Amino acid sequence: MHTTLYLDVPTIGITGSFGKTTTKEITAALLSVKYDIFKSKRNYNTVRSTRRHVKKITDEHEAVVMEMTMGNKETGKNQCTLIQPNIGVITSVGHAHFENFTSIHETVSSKSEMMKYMDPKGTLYLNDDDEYSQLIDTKYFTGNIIKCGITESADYRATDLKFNNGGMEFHVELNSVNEYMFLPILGEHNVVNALFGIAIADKLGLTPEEIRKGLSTVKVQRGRLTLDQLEGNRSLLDDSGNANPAAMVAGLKVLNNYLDSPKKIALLGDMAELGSYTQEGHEKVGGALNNLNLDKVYLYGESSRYILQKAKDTGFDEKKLFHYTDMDELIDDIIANFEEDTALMLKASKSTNFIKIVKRILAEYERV
Amino acid sequence: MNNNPYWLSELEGAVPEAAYGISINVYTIAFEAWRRGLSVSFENVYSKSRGRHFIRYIIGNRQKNVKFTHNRSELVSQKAVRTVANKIATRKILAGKDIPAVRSGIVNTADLDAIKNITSDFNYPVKITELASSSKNKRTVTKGSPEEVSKFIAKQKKNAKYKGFLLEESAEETHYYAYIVDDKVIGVYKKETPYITGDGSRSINELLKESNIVRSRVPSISNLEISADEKLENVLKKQNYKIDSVPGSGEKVAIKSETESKDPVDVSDIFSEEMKDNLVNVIGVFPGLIQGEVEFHYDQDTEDYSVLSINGRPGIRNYLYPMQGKASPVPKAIIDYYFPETKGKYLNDKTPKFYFDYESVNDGLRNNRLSRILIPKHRYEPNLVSKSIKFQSKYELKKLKKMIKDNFIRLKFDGEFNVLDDSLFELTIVGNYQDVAYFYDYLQTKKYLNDISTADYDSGVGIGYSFNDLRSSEPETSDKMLKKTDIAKADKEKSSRQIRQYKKKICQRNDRITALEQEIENLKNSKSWKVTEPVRKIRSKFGR
Repeated sequence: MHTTLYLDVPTIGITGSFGKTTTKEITAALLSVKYDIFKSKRNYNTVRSTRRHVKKITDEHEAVVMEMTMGNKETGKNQCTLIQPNIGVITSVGHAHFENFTSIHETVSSKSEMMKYMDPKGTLYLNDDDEYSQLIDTKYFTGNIIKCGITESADYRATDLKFNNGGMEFHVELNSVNEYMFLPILGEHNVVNALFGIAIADKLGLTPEEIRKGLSTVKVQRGRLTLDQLEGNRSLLDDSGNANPAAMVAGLKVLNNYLDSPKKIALLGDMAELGSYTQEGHEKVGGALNNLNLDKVYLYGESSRYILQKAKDTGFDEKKLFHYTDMDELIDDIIANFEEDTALMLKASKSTNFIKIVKRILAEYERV
Repeated sequence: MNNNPYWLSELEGAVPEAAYGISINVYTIAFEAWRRGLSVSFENVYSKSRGRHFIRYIIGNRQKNVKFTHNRSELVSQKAVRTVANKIATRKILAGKDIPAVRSGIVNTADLDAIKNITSDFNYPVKITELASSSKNKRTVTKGSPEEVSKFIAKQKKNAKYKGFLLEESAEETHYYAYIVDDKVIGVYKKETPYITGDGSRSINELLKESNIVRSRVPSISNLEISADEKLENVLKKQNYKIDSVPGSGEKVAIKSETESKDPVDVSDIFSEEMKDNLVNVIGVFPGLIQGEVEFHYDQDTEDYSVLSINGRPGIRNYLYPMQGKASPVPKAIIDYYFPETKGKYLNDKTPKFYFDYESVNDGLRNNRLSRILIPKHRYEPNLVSKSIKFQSKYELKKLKKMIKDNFIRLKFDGEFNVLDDSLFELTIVGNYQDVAYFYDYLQTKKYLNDISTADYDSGVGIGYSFNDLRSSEPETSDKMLKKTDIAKADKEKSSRQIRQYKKKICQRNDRITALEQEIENLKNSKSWKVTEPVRKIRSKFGR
């Protein structure tokens, strides 16, 4: 029998459809500046993993940062029954793991379990930019709610976003002072993920200087929008860790908006676990391509045919689209077309095994 | 009694009526396991050796299952239980181990010398039990000298055919009962004539009412309350009191005669560790007797003791519900022994108090409708709250029931929907605090519901949904209506318990009558009846 672990120290539970691991890493990096923390390992976020993590928490830990998947009905309840967060974060609500749901409302309800089962007097952090996060009904939550985002209504708002030196620069208002921040990872969506960490750190009394120090130490796992500068002015933007439509579009925006490269190529693979949303989700990505200035788009897998079709239907230049079902053939063509002065972004579900392509590229071109 | 016994808080409001009486043994142990997150199932099993069905329950986790009957597990040695069932044999075994045991002997003569010879080292007075057969004992009396014993036996032998008389020493000494589990004394009680303790201001009648409130809370199938009737008046008269007398502060007034049933009084604290070790050693003489009860005499000044008997199948109600002192956590000790890894880990520490339905165990299994019942797991999750919601409505009850039940299921509530009156209703709910708040708001939107109020609810809530119509036939005035919940519930429980008892008795009698009629019929149809007919005729002619 496992009874619930209720801690007096900050116990942060992070859930959401995407951005959980990054938010967890950023929050842990920030709090580590001031506290002796326990953080859940890698993206081990299932109930089973949480059970294992909980056993490792000791009295020495001054704060706990846990990533908690809530991808099924009652998973959130089970997670919070193992350890009850007094600080909850719902990074986003989207179609990741949609195979477990029949509608977005079910997803909302599933992520809302964080709100239902966390400490009723605790603080819940929500994404103010995220469309579906607006569907979370907070009427009966008795704790505090803090919203983070780029939109004006956010309690913690990032402004003046810029890509610089392999990361994101932005400003955030802390104690009525507009503070400069630098996040050494890419993407607007990661700035929002960082805002969760900044907001939590600020509430827990970290100074802006401590927050900046913490942000400077943030390291993300390989495959989560990591940037490698390779020989011949090649840039490899590796986002092959996992994928869902919103994250894929966000990754494409990073390639399009923030990488300063003469040529830009995207390699997109199938997004798994979307269930009934598979076609619509892939089509959403296909529809977004037309707004981006990309030189070539490589597609791999059966579901990515929906991207192909939608891109064609919405007017994306057909000649720039290449579809593959054979991995070896794809690798050969990618290596051949990853010319000098080119930025290449890879994005797919982990099961698509794009890591194989990444390894091959890294073996082919040396880092500079 | 002082009316402030300390009973186990976890059982308050968590013992359903169906678990009253002898079922309290099974229920409290199963409940203790259940609230630790262990799985509990009940099954109806046929015993070839007993020639009948009996209820067995299984407590388990992923690693092991332990089967129990009554409050005893299958791991308790049956041989030991059988051995200790024989009081005289047990005493001999104990004496052989130098453990002081009450001296006893059987006589079947009124010869004074023989009696003196047998009782030469007995402490008088002795208790005499008339042995009608090897298994059935008849009434017992107490006699203060060998001469009195001889006289009594001589008289009895004239008019009855007794097989013998069991003489036991120290007849008037207090009996103590100690429950031992896993080499630990869990609790000790003694029996005392019920009394009330004066406070110098209240009358006996007022103190009795207070005492009866405590008595009414004991989960017993028989009414333990003491009536202010003629019987009581006689008891009081012997002590020079009347029902409206005001006894002085600290003065004890007996409210039952010495011969009537007595109350258990917890005395666990009066024993030294050494004495407790002695009691443990007594049980230790019988290998495999993991749990058992020692009945003994005890002198608090000298710490001398002597064992009367060992009970391998003791009940635990007297340990759980003493009328004075603290309850002894026997179920806790039992589950601690069999499932030590669950020690001190309770799911209901952070949840509202739940209990499980025992009616279905009693009804479903005993009536052979079900062969096995698995009790749902104890609900355990953060942020559960327990609330009572009352409202008035003239809405059609059928529709109201459906609306409430649908929401209970949808919002995963546990609790009850009680009809207190034609227009007054009460919901007791356990659910997530947000769902309960939402549901309260939802009820407010229903135009057919009025005067909706909510309050925290401390008592136990049964898992699942249940509907109870607690309406009485007598009309009530509106100012009494709000107080009705508890009273109506208690009344309903009490009367339904009594009705069930009566029905049971009637059924048993009817069955017995039918069986006897059938027996007579068979007899009349038998050959021997026909052959002996002339003898009967002659007998009736000449008288017996």
